[in-house]
Amino acid sequence: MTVLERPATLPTPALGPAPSRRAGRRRRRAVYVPLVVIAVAFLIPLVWLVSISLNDDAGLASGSLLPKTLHWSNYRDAVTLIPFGRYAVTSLLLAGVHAVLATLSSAMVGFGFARLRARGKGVLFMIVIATMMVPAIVTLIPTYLIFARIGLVYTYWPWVLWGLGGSAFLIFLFRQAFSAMPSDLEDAAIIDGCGWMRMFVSVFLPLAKAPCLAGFILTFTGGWADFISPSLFLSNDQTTLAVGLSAGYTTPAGTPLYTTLAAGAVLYILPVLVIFLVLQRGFVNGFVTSGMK
Amino acid sequence: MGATLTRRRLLAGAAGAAAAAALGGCGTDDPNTLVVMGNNPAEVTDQDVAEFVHAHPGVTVKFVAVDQSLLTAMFAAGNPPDLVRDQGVNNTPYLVARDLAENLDPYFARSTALSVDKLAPANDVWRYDGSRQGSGPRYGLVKDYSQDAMFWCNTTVFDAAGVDLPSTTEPIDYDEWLDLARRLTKRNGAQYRTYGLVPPFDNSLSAGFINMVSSAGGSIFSEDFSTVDFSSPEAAAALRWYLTYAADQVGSTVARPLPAGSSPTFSADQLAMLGYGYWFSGLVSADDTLAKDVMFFPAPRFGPKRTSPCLAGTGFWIPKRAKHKDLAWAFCEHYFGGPPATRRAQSGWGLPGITSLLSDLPSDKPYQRQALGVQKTELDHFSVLDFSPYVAYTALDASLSQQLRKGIEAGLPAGKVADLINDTLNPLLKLGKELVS
Amino acid sequence: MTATQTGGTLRVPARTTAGTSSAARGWRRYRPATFYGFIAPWLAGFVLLTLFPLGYALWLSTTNYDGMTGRYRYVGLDNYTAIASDPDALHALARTGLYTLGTVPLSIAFGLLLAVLLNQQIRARGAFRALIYLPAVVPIVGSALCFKMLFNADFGAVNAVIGLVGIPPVDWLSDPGVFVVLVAVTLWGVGASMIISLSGLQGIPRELQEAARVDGAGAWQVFSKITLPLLSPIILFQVITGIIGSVQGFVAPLLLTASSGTASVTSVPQSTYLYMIHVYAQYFAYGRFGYASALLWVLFVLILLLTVVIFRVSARAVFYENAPDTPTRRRRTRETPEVTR
Repeated sequence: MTVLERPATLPTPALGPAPSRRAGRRRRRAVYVPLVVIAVAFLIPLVWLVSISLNDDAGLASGSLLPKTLHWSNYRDAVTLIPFGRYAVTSLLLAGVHAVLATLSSAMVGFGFARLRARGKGVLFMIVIATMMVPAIVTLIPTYLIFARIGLVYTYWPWVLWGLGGSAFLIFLFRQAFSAMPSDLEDAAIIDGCGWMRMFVSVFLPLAKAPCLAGFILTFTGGWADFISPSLFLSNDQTTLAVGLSAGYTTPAGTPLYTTLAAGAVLYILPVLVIFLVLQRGFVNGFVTSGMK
Repeated sequence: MGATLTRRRLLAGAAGAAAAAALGGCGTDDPNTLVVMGNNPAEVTDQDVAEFVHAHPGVTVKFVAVDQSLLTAMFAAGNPPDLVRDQGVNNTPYLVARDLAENLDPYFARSTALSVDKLAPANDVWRYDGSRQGSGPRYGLVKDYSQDAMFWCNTTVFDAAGVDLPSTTEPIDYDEWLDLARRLTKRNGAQYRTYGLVPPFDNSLSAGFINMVSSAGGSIFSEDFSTVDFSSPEAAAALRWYLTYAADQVGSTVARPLPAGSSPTFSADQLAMLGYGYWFSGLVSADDTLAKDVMFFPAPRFGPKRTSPCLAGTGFWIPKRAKHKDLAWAFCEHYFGGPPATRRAQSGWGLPGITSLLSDLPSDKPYQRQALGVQKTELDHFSVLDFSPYVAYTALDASLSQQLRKGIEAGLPAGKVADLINDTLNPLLKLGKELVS
Repeated sequence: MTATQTGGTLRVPARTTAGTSSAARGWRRYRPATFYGFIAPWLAGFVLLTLFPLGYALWLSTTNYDGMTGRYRYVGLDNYTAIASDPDALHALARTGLYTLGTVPLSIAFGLLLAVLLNQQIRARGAFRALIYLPAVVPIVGSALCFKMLFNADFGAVNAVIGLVGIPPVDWLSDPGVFVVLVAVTLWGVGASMIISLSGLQGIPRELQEAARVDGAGAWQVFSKITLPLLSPIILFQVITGIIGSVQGFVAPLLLTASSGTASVTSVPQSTYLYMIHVYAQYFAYGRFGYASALLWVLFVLILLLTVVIFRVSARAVFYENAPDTPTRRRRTRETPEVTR
């Protein structure tokens, strides 16, 4: 996952008045038209998906663009024809556990890089940054082969281990956050007789709620979206929604059920969209994710 | 200090996790747990298992999904399942050459429930003597089988097109088959009302081709199975047939499978001829309308020789490194020789692996009688295909699928496609030969 | 303030950790064991989950391992030389190059354009930003399924629309149309690039642009002479991450194939047969673990080289606002007003 962060502290620049009001208005109109066109065009795929999810086979065959009656039963089929609930719980669990572990572990490591000193720290931090440039897929397949040898495939442990190892980007994020905190905090804690671990847990971590949330959301949505790891490391009956869904819905005889698949896809996408819409401001202003795979 | 403690706890936790996971892996050391890589409940029913457990108190049967990567992983971890579902036709030499499968001859010698004289000839697909498939020790059994190069016709589609049905006694040849398919296909551009033909490649492309080539008197492999040659006249002719079939757009190809799948399209009267074996009668029996318009036909001939092999031979084998081989064999005795085998025969989903059960095949409905009649004659032409020990059939299929797709999409001539297939497969065979010899 | 680095060296806002008040006490605080204790999870993860797998793949790439037999041996560089004579590998590499060239510059340019539009003071700016960014959060499996429906030959909206102007239905999910679909689904996620550029734009002090305008510079001049240079680190960042992302392209081409049921790497059409598809096919369809590992290492080395080359080439063009405190490096120091925050 490549993610880029903009410090949340950066104020949105106050926009000065445009040089001439009329020119400004004209320019604004030139801005609106393409924006509306693009925004609508960007929504079409999702609208189409929802439309298919409410259609039936006859409706699809007739070539009508929108369903004549709404077939909500597709949604019932979507969750009953495949073990949708089990897949969803697995997705939730794996993404959740991985996100919590990765966030906490990265916070701890980021704290180390921000506030502690030791020989080799500079080099190690360079390595952290360099690992962001290693394509994840290059290490994933060999990891699979190794884990197969030691019996870790077809278990959920890989997600725990990946979580514990932290994420280079989050470490970077936390390092930034902890570096920016005043050193008086440290002094006060030391006067109080705190060890570094206590200082981290009870003084610094509570002040890093924003990066914690950002890290959790990014890792969680990344885990929810991940297709390759579960398809490699998990068997078909213990897998996640991303993989279970992509195998598609068919009748017992093997006919693909497009409308049900669309309904399943809507249900799969929905949680992420809800998270996005709720935390939209944070997404758009504070941090950004772009697909890893 | 806090940091140290936490770190230690963390590491201990991770190590504990790894150990627990290793122990809780797929295989097991519990002497009473049989681990089966099989399809439960579809192929090994809950009833089959319950009967076995009833006869063997204290035993539990655990299923893991049929999945090549999982099998690889379990082998790599030194913990293979006790029984593995597989296709004997395509895989026996490969398994034996790698020393993965247990020789079952001693088990047969000891067994009363399963003896060699009870076995149908189709079980020979699981035999390999180190150079040829079909003779030598037995490494597995078929749960049921079909002569998969035969085909079914949907008479409704034939009637609608005004095309006469082929003979049910004399096999047609592949060119006549293609010609029928052309006449039966009704389409407007890319929109089909009816498809003409799905040839017998759905299960395994390579098996379908090996059958065609052997009917023409050739082989895709060299004498010692260490190379393939799709440029030989017989193999090139088979490729040419496939490419012509694809160019005619009369049915499903690797580049364009039927959107709804083969058998649903057939059931919906949108496909005239379906290259499936006898097992399909089991599927038809659930559909009374379809049962009235299907007929079963002998396997078409590609060359002068009439061949009608089994293209899958699904059954089970016991890994050499399995932990509970005797329990696995006990399960085999029950599953292949006991009540489950009888129930399978009665369902009509394929021919029984035990000769005496042939009489249990269903014959209540007219279509079942027609199919059974044709099938019984066809048994005389049963043949065993040759596969190479040096390459997995999945790799053969993958290469054929990939290169044929390329050939179809780019309109390449058969000779060029043959070169492409040779170029991808021969390095693999070379690799395989280095590994096993 | 981005994850971008200057020529491989990272600089973070210089905010020293130790207070100036008590240097002596400060030094006693820092025991190496504490630091290494804190970074231990990452260090262990790095060694076990990155270095070790990379090394394992490197070792496998020198063997003829097939994933099943224990009998395999060292074959030297055979697997590497085999790549040069594998037409499918070269085809896949070329396709990946085309895909990268087709999507990375387009995404960045399109994203920048959108960012510029959305940096204006307009009504419903937040809503526009959210709407255009929305597809970027859709998981790849979701967007692939979405576009499969959109481009379906029988009931897809695209064929319905082109049908209105009399164009016969196109079989989009086969060659060569499927490449268009792949590019389209990638560009649909342009919001990610837009947001990055937008954050960069917001970091540019408005006074700079205003001052230039007062001096008589036109909008284009302001953009090309002030905005673009100041955005160059962010563009560089996107070029690198974009390339790394697109060479890993796997799920979208896999899921976009026309076949029903479970998609398989061997049924991916030629035009979207990307490098990783080939690597997967070699591992899991053909069982050529050694050869596939060599392919993987070639990709890894190519990425490293490409990154280094891009940094080198861009060292001239990219402008860093807080350059001074890094060790000497060929860098053009520009006369720009000091940016204050």
